[in-house]
Amino acid sequence: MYISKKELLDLTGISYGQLYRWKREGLIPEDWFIKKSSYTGQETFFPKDKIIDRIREIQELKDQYSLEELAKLLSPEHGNDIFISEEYLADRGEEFAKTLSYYKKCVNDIPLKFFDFILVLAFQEIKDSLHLEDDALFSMMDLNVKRFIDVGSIDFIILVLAIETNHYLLLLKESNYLDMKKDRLEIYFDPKMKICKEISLSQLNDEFRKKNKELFTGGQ
Amino acid sequence: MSQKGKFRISGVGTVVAGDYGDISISGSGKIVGDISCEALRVSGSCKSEGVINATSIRSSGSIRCEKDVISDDISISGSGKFEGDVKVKRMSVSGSFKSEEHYLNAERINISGSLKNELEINAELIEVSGKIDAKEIVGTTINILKEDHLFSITPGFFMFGSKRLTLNKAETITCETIFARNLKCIKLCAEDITLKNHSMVEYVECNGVLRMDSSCSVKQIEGTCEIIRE
Repeated sequence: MYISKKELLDLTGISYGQLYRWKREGLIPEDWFIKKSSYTGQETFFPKDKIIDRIREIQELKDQYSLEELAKLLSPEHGNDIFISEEYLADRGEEFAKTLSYYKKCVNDIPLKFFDFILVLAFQEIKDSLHLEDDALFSMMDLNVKRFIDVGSIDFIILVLAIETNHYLLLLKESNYLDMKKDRLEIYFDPKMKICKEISLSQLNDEFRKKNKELFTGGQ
Repeated sequence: MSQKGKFRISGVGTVVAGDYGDISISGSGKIVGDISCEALRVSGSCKSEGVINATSIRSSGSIRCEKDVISDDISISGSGKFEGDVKVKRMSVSGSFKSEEHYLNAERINISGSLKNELEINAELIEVSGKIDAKEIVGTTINILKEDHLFSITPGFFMFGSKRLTLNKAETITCETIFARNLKCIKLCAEDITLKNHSMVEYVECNGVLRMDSSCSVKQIEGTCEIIRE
C-alpha cells in the first residue's frame, strides 16, 4: 500500500530533483510524503497507487501545460480561486441545485471555495446512493457542514454509518484509514450499525478535475 | 492605472491589512493583518502578524513574521525569524535567517550568512558559503562551498575538536547533485556526490558517483554508485 522514495524513483524513472520540484510547485500534495523512522534514520514513503497515478498523469500532461497550470489542475490547495459558473452549476440538474442551495444556507451565503464544491458533490453522492429524502440530507448537512469546513482538507474519507433508517457521518483522515485497512485493524460495530457508504474526498476531487480540465486550465 | 499607496514608518507605527505599493520601515513597525505590496524594506525592526505577499522583501534590520510569506525576492542582511511557511523565487541571506517547523520553498537560495530550518528546505539550487543547519534539505543542486581553513592548516590538532567545528548540518539531504564541505549529515540520497573537508555522513544512498577525500567518512553506502576516493 506504501512505496518508498527509492522504489518510486526506480519504478517511474524520475529523478529526486523532479520529485521535489513537483512537490514544491504543488503538483504532489505534502500529505503524500509520509516520514517513517527506519534503521537509516528517516525514510519517506508514499501512498502507492495515488503517487504512481499522479506521476503518470504529470508525465502525460507536462508537455501540454505549464507547471502552474498543472498545479491548478492537480492540486486542491490551488483550486480555491476556481470559478464555477452558474451555467455550469445549472447544467448539473435540479437535485444538485437544491443541495448546493442548502449548502450555501449552511455557510450563511459566504462565497464558496473549491473545497466547498467538493463537499457539495460528496453530500449529493450520499443522497443519490442512499436514496435519501431532502429533509434527511438537509439535517445531515446542518450537523456536519461546518465541522467539515473546519477540517478544510480533501485528504479525508467520509464514512456513512447506518443504524436502522438513521444515518451518521464519520470523518477519517485518509492516511489513517488506509493504515487501519493495511493493519487489518478489527473494529466491531454494534450489530445494528453498518457502513453503508465510503466517500474519498480526494478521489472525488480527482475525478471531477479529470472530467473538467477546462475549468482549471483556461479552456485548453 | 491605479497607483498603490506608499507607506513609510520612520518612528513607531503600524501597517494595517491591505494592498500597498512600497512599505518602508526604518523605525519600529508592526504589520497587523494580511498585506500585499510591491516592496517591503526594513532597516529597523518589523513584526508581522499576518500573511505577507510581496514582490520583494529586503531587511537589513530585524524582521519577524508570524504567518506565511510569499515573495519573488527576499534578501536578509540583518536577522529574520519566520514562523510560517516561506515561498520565494530567490532568497539571499547574508545575515541570519531562522524558520522553525515550517517549509521553506525556493527556486534559488544563496546563503553567505547563516540559515536554520527545523522542517524542510526545498529548492532548485542552494549555494552555501556561510552556514546551514537544517532538518531536511531536498531539491536539485546543493553546493556547500565554505572551506574551513583551520582544518587544512593543522588537521591533527583540530581532529579532537572536529565535532565542534563542523559547520553545516542536516539530518536528511535528497537531491541530484551535491558538493559539500564540512557537512555532517545522517542520510544523504543523491546521484552525484562530492564530499570534502571532514564531511561526515552516516548513510549514503547513491546510484551514480560518490567522490570523497580522505578526511571524509561515510559509514554505510547503499546503491550501485562508483566510489572515487581522492
